[in-house]
Amino acid sequence: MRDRKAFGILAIIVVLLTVPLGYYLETILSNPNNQGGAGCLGQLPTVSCNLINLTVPGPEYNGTSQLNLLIANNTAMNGKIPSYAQVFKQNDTIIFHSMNLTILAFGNANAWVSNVTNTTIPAYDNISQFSNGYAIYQLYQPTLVIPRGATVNITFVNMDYGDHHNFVLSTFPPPFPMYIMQNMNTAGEMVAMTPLLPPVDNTSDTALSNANASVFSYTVKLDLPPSVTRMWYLCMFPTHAMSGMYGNITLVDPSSVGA
Amino acid sequence: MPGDVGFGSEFLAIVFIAISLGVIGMLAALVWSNKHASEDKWMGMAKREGWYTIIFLIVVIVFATSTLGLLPYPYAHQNIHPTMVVNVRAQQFQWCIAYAPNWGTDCEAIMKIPTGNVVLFNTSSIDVNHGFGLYTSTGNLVDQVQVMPGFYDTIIYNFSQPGLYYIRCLEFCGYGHFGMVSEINVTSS
Amino acid sequence: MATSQIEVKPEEGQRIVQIPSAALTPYTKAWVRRFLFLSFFDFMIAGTFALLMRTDQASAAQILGELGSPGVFGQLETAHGIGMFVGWQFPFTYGLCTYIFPKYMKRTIWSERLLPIIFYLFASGISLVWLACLFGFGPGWYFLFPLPFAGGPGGSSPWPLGSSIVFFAGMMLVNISLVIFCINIFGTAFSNKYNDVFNNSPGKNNSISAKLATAMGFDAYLPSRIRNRIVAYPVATIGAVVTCVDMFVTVWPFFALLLDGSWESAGFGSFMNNLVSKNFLWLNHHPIVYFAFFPLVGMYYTLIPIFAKRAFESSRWVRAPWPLLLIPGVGVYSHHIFMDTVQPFALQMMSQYMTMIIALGSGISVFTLMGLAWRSKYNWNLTARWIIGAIMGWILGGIIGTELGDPAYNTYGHNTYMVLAHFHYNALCGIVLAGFGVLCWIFPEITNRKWYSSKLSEIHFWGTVAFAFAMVTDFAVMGYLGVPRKEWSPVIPQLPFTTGYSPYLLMASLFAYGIAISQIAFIINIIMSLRSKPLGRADEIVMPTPEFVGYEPRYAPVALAIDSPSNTSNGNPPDPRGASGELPSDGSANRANDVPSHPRTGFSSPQKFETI
Repeated sequence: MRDRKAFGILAIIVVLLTVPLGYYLETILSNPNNQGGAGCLGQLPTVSCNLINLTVPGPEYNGTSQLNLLIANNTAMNGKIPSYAQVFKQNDTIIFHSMNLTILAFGNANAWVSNVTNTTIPAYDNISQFSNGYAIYQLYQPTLVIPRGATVNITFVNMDYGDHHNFVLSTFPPPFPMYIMQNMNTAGEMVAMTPLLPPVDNTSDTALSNANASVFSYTVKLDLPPSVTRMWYLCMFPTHAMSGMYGNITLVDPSSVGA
Repeated sequence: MPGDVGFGSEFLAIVFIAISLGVIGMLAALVWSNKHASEDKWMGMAKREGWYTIIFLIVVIVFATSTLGLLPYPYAHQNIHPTMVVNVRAQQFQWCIAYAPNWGTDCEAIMKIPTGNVVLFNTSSIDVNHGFGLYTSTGNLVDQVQVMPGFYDTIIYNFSQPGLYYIRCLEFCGYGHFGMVSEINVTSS
Repeated sequence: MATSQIEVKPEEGQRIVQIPSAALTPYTKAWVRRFLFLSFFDFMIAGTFALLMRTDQASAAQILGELGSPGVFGQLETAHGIGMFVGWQFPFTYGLCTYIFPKYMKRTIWSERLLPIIFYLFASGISLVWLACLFGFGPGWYFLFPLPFAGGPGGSSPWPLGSSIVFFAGMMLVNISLVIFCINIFGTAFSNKYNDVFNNSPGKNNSISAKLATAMGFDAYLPSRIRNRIVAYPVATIGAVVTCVDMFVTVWPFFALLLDGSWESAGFGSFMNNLVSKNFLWLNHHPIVYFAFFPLVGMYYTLIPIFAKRAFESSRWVRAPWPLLLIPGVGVYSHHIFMDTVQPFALQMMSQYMTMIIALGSGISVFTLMGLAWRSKYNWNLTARWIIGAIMGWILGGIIGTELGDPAYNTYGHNTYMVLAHFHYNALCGIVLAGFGVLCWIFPEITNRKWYSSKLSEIHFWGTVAFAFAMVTDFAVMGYLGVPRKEWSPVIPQLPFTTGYSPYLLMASLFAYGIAISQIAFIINIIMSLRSKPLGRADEIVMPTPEFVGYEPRYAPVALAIDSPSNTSNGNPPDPRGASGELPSDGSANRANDVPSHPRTGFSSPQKFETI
């Protein structure tokens, strides 16, 4: 057998093996049930965590999926706001009147956030053209008033063309340093987080119809001690929270908001 | 025991540089020798192989045995008693360093240790392997231990010098490994 | 031809011949070629991954875009490490050992039909491994459990569990190819099916115990009355056998680990704790670094006599280091886990002293080899220079390895760039340089073509050697400065002293690009060489072989005395190829003929040392 034939057979075997397996891996990467690792958060492992045998319930992770960028953009600008969410645009606040609620958050550069929320970004949050922020129910990084003990579904969409972002719920306060992982542990507690989602997959598509944003959702019951009245949502990527990519959460008595 | 020795990587660097210069010299000598080929003188060198082997063996055995008193294992130093215990819990991607008996709670942002304490670090992980690397403020790596889930790995370090020390994760633990750091402030107060 | 004036002892002596070996069949040569080409192809791919990592670490991650993110760094590190230690090293060793036995022992491979199976199994395995890395799998080339199943907190792992299943499946295929290869080598080395001097020498001990002793160098330690009755194996084959023994012994715990990994990836629990996993991993991942190294050391012992134009003063010293490499080759494994204080103390001490013994074995080899070249009319051809460069890398890596092989000092070096410097001196500046040298040497014989351009070869040599040593020396400096390894960004603002790392990281990346650019010359050279017309006869090009007389086997017509009238006028034995240009089909060219035997050694009368 000539060398060319031997390597030709090799190439065929490699293609036959890797193409279907690659397709399989691509599929499971975008499968909502993909947990990546064992699903352990570290501090609050889920019951499905097979690293550590604990029974403390924690967040349920619903995995990563893709959302067409055009749809995501439209939803961010004009999406339906749930009936239990009372939006106060002038105060940049949303009060949730339900013990089961969904927060749909979009992360991107401040220029985009300013556009979809029709807001002027404050200077202290907009220290450079690269500063980033969240758009939640057409508000720029609103304060979220949530009944204590509510079950919250966070769905986060990364709309950015160049940056990774995520959505972390934590009890440790600003100001946030550049690398915040350590502070999450010593100055508070990381309650739940999405992975760092990659940027939009097709950055050359200006029409947005052929590009997709990554989406991750998780559900967590905010069953925290009564002493915890304030939380924050923030982006874990180095420098983002430091540059202003965070917002406030106030935990209130459910009866005070009719939940 | 690390922290008592007074030498570390500087000594190793000196040994490496010295032997490397010898190797370069050996290469130069080899090239020279080929320009002065001689069958008689070669045979003399070959006859010395036995002596060379014995000396090499003695050197490496002495090198290894001379460090038995400096092993980084607390159980190898029965007469050294720690004056303080610090619990270290590692997870992706943060440290919880707390005064014993706290474990995973009351984590110190900057652990404070009075100068002169012999500290036992009791480490474990709740997810993957990490590495507890102790650096001085000038960047000298003075001690380290692996931090494994399901086990407690311990080291003892004598903080005889005050100042700021840094802890850096020294075992690859995922995408956030590079930022997994903490601080220890060793002061006389 | 000038004859050396030295009087060689009756029982020692060497002749260098250029006679084709009938055992190196065209079929075997073809598979040697394919293994070697596959290995260097993998080398180029894995080297590219390293370039991207160097760029990351030089704080230029933003140039790489998505390729410069921390998650991708893990993928690159996994793909580069496995790509080099497995992707390059395995097929290279398969090809080299497949060449060594037919060439130097004059034995056809035990089962030539296994060669394509090994080839395709291996290539399938490594492609699955790289596929897994492409889809995010990035726990590192030595994958400490449970990181392959827990890449990040929460749902934040950069890779799905499916990619870890693909990875473990790929590694299993690779290791199955390894097992088959080892069986093939053991069959070639020890089978009774061969009718040759090793199996049928009158008055000699042809038992399996004798063959085992000589195949691993233990015969050097036997008393002369026993040793002289053993037909000694060529030293190149000793390297091959020793490496296969080490790998064969340690692949089984590694299979257990891979099975556990697959089991966990499928969502079930582990059946071994993390300490056992670490031990099983390093039991295999230490000898793996010797896989190509030992056969290459065997090649040093084979080729340096040719270049130095003289024989070793004593075959015992040639064989003596091998048991010191064989047993500690596995026994040192716990030096990778010196920093685990829960590892049993006995294993730590065993590994510390075994590390010193393996340093001794290396030291003896280096002395023997350099001693042979000392004051010789050394032929500084390209292969010779590659090999001397490789030996320099071996020594420098060995110094750092000995330092790290001591738990007290390991504290200062573990998981820093000291470790990188150690294995890059031994690997990049050691076995890779030697690999290029051996390829340079045997390429004409296995392809029946000459190298296209010696100038390109020189550019490749000088560029690779200069930049490789420069880069790895930079690693050593960083290691002694305490720079940690496997950090996407070693320089971080929380640690002010890390700003001092930047110049060294930048230099390392520049040197890495220098190495990469030097490979362009090699790629052009090999492509142009392969495109050139083959020479006339299939076995026209035959590389020289040192044939030992004395208690090592000789092959007719080498067995003939120099002053025998049947010698040709230039002092060479007559070419056994007849007018047809083919070797006799009855194998007679490979059997010892009956010549008057020396009263002490059983072989012919003393011969003056002569080269072609």
